[in-house]
Amino acid sequence: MPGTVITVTSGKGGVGKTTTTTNVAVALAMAGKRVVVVDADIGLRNLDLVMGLESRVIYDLVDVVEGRCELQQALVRDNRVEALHLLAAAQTRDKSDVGIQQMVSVCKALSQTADYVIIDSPAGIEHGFQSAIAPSDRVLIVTTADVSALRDADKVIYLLERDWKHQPGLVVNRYNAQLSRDGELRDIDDILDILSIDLLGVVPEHKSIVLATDRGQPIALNRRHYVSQAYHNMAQRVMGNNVPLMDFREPGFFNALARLFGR
Amino acid sequence: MPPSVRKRKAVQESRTGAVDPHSVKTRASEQLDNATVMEEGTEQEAINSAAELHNGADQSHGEKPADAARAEFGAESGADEATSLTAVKIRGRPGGVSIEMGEGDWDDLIKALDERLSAAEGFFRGGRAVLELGPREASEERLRQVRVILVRHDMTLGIVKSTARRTLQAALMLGLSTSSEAEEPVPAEPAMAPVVAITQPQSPYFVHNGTLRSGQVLRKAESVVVLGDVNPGAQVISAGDVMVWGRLRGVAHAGAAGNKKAVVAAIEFSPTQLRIAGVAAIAPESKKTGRGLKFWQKPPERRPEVAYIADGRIVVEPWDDSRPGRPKTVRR
Repeated sequence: MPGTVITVTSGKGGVGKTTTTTNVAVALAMAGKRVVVVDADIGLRNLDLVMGLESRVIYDLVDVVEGRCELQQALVRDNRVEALHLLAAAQTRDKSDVGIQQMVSVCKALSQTADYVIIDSPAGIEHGFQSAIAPSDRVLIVTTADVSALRDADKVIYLLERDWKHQPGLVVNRYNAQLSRDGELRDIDDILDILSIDLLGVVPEHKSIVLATDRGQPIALNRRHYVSQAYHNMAQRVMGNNVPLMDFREPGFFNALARLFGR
Repeated sequence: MPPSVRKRKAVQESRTGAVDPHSVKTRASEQLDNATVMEEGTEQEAINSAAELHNGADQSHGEKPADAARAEFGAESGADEATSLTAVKIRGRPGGVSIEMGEGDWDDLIKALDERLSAAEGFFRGGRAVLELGPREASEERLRQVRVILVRHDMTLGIVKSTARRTLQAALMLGLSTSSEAEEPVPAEPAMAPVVAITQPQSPYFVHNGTLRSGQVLRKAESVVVLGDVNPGAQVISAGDVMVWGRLRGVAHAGAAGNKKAVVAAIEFSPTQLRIAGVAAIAPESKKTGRGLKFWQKPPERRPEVAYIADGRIVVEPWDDSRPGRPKTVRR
């Protein structure tokens, strides 16, 4: 049975598509799945940076498409987990160098040997987005609680429903539980109210994620850190297991007290 | 528009006009025999309000109600023509129009059909016709004539019904669907089908099932009912009313063709921007929802609201549930 192709997209840039892709992929691989991540952001490649595999990339997606190497040759193996591979994007080329059909056939070939093929989509709703969506079986929409991110996510959901008949899952990234609890910023319910799609996961805002991403050490690798739980939960839900949302408060004495008082 | 409304209007016209009310009434019931039969002697008020409602709808479509009513019932036709006029029967059916060609010379019937359709002034516009020919044998050429007339009146010829084989063959040659049963016509398409022909004011409501998302624009000549939310960034534009059975958070424009009586209503009313005819308004500060309130603060009551023009300004007020369909203060 071929694996599932999942595309991670958002519409707006900078909301955390690449971070989400990386960490969900790592979490899935840690759960024993064979995972391949594909960077579809040709010309602005950075999935390899976030995964910390930059120095090991030899061939990229455009090389595969143009026949300069075999597909398996272009896959970079991540040594830190069991079965995680990366297919990098070309930095020197353009989105138009990979057609929609080519993207579909590459992903189809990858899904023969992998359980999950995860595509990191470029921002926007143009050609790059189209070719990242075309091969996918499932779509994850990443958004933050910002107005602009929500507006763009809404538009992307509309396009997905109209053109691709997809029912995307939602990932709320950089969620500031404190602000939402105080009623300053919209909370999960308000977000779901607007977007009205299934929630797949919520990632709290935390400096460790920023730092880990910057160092090329995905936070999901560190199971002892409490925020990495968000990604492992998400991976469980991708695999079809029902797990409750995590507690967004950082563990600690004062937070334990706050919890006692119901805040 | 629903046949019942149109009929009420006809009755009212006849009372005010020079035509003898009873004769018009009998003809009306004969012609629109599928319409719900209205009881005799309904209060004048109901009739007036129905007529008013109708006139309101007409303004946006540019029809002339008085003429339409008179012409439709063709009260002033000569006696000769009357025989062929009655030989052609046009009836509204769910999902289309049924045209029955009775006895008589074919050319006369064709002429009568043309007149009847012209007299209806686009009442059947956009309709899908079922042609019922009974045992009559019609050639390809004759069916083509019918089709030409229907097309001229913005209608389509869907199904030809006949008991004569030759007629059915001719219809098939023209690429039309046929049906040999003489029983009641089954709508060829779901009743929604003609509504999709958007520019036609044939049906007064367009129902959109689902949420309108950012970037989506729903633009209709009819009044629009959205069964779902209108999200921020989405737009609903209608020449008639805009009703949102959900949350209105985007832009709504009612009476886009200039109908100042149009209203915008929603279960949860918080549009980004609101326009009725040529008047625009931006939403008041959004009310705080339940979250983030201190325990002694009560969350604001959320009620369906309706917006309309009063004194040239857009007014928003709670939907009057004691008189559905009306705002509290104005009785239109």
